[in-house]
Amino acid sequence: MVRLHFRLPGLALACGLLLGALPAIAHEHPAATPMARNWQERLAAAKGSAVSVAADEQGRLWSVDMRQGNLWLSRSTDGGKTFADIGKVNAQPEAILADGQNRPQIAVHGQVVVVSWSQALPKLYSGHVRMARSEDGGISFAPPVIVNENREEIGHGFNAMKMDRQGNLALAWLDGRERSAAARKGVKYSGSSVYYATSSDFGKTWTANVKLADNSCECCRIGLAIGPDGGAVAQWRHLFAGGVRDFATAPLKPGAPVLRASEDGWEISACPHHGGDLAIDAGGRRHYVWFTGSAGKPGLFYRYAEGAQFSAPRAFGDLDAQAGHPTVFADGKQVAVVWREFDGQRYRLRRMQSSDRGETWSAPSTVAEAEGATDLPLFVQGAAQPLVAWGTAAGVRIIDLR
Amino acid sequence: MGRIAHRLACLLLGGLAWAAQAVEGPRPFVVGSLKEIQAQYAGKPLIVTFWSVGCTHCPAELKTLGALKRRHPDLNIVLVAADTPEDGPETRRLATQYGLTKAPQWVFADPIPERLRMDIDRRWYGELPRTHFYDAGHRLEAVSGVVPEARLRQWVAANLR
Repeated sequence: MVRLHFRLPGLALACGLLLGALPAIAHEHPAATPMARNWQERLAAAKGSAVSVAADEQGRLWSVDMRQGNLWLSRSTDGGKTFADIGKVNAQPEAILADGQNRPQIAVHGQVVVVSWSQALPKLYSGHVRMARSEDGGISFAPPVIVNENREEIGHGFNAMKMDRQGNLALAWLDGRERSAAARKGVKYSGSSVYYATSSDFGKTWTANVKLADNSCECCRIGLAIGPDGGAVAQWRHLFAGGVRDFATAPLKPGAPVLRASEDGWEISACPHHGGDLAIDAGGRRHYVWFTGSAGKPGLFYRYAEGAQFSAPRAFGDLDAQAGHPTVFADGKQVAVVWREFDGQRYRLRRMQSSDRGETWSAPSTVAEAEGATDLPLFVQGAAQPLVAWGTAAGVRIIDLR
Repeated sequence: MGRIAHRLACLLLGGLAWAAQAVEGPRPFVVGSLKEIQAQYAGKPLIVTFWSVGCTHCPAELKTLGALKRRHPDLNIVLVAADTPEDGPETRRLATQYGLTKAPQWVFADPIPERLRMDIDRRWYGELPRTHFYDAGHRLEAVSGVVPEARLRQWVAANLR
């Protein structure tokens, strides 16, 4: 069993891996360097609170979690009841962000295991997106590589990664290079930017880094999904005019248009630490879930989209129970949405279900409860069924929604 | 002579109290702590700012608050860091940088932040900074994100006499 040890500072510190307001701290205060060092040392010494889980084509489950600067690969052959360690992904320990919005990612097919993560660098809020790959079922990994071609000591992190059974792999992350370039020219730049790279051979070879969008929010996870045509689509919290932090979406294709994915109008000078999620069904319909704190209509929302046509947002979740961190799964006409609530004593996972591609929905119901600190729930990457991985104080739990 | 001795004693005691505070670090913030803070400032206007060490938007607001505090020593500001007790030294060091050494400081001391947020405000979902403005009657106005400097000044002008 992979045991989790929750350390909450990570939640706040994870936001750090950003380009945002950091120059203000890094340059104006000489004491920022010890702070950054402290940050990095603590990360390397800690256990991550995030466990990421992927299914291979046989339905076996693979997980990665961070312990003392190493990512450990584990496998379950009993549907997630027990996990056994296979070994380390990175031989040399390094400062790895593994909590909340900024967590390692894993994808498995056959003997190929691909893991990506955010490495924290000594300078405050700076990092690299790293990746390591195994071709022998995780027994050995090639040395990790840095994915971001820009090697400045600035923010590169919040990586999201998805893979399909044909070997299409997509990796998207938040990247500070545009902000850094603007700063060199003395130009103001709002937020961060979204970059990506893709592979069509299970991660053996990759495209160059491509910019997807300017002006993203700085510390919300990216929603990422691969469609039936093998093309990936991303969803992220964007920084619209007037400091409005609503969602945007775009396919990972050079020159693709960026579409607005929510019209919440959440104007906020802060980082909400609350990304959304995205799934694409076999017919190519995109299913979006997200959180907004907009004064007019806060809460969790679902909508679907085909091309540039979006359905009306549908609210869900109990606003008075800290409803948050939604995740979505689509298979055929079935769509499942899971999110987390807190009732004052314990966390509960709530679900709602559609069997007509998101037109009508079941009433919400509770699928699991947990005492103590918990991670946010996520559908298992690559699973053919709606399996939810949920890190709790007692270990990672796999919940089969069928 | 007696007066000078008294002053020296005050200075010494004050210094000791300051030193003790500096060494002790922020107080642990648990369920009920906000009520305790409010009771302490009953009948007085108060700003409670929730922030964290890793929050990149927080320094802007904390610096403005620090400057306001210098100009209005009577302004009641309480800082609550949504970190963990082990971040105490760091939160105190940063607060000093922002000119808020004298503001009482607290740090989250619960492994479940949702439990604290529900006690503070059920509809706060963790965005930082988060500012609670209490007027003299302790009517609450809660704001997520950096509060513009003009708005902070306005509040001070309206509530501090």
